[in-house]
Amino acid sequence: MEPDTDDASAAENRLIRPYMVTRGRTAASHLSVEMLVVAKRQDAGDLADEARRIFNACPKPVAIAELAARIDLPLGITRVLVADLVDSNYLKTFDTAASDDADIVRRILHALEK
Amino acid sequence: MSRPVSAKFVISGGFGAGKTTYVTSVSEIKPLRTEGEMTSKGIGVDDGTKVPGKTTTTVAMDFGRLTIDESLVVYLFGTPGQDRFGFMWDDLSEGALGAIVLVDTRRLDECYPALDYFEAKGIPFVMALNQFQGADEHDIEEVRYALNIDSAVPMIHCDARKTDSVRNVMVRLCHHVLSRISEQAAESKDSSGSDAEEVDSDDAVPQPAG
Repeated sequence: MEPDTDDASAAENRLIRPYMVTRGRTAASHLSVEMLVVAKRQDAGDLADEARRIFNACPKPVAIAELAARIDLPLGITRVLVADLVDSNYLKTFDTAASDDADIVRRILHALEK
Repeated sequence: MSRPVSAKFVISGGFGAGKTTYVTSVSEIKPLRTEGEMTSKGIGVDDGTKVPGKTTTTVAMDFGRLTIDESLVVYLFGTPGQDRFGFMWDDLSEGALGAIVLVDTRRLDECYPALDYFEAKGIPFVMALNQFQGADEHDIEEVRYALNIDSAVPMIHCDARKTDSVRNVMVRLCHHVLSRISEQAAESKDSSGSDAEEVDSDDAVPQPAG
């Protein structure tokens, strides 16, 4: 897929476009692969194509990597679109566990030892 | 209902060490695969990547999921095997609770990149010697000696095909992570009296919200 684009063909290159439109907003790289996201509203409104697919795929909290796999979009593109949807109030994110959170590790241990 | 939280572990090892088999055995869902791009951050290997802004290479990673309770879900990510995709490892390892280095005892040296990586990043890890059919059952201390692994790093046998066995590895890893967390809390208490209050969450009085 070639990102050679001008205004007229921009609509046909939505996989590329988000990289440009998200510049300066939510840094997509700050969204961890395991971060859960969920839809904040009922309907997808006028979202187009990939953004709509992402929105529709998270009525329940789901990790960004899982989302990407389920709708078969590359991780990087999914992450940029998710960042965009968070900024535009379509999605919200949840916290990821800090790597030194002993309580979380104990909960995992407890579940594994059951 | 409390807000959901997610956490992750990373599973690494040489090519063909059994990472995907391991993920399959521990995951509650059929392992998923997603593609990460070779972006400009990973430039420097292929001629094709010299073109600015072009994404020419993708790398697949497999991962699984384990729901712990109603508000905690754990993901287990397999690192792509090739050294050249190190930037992808950063992405996967950032914030990981811990890591598993899966060792193919027929190809011991292939786990070095993973060992070096997790050591350098300070991510606690355990080493699991995957038992392939027909492979010798290597003595753990022999492998430890051959690879020059510190005795503080847990090393155990596992069979990546068996759920009980991979869960056992996860249990060992969790114990190891917990001791690392308490060691670090103790260290920061020693080195700085004022910071220690914030680090030692177990003894902390619940903070008012906001």
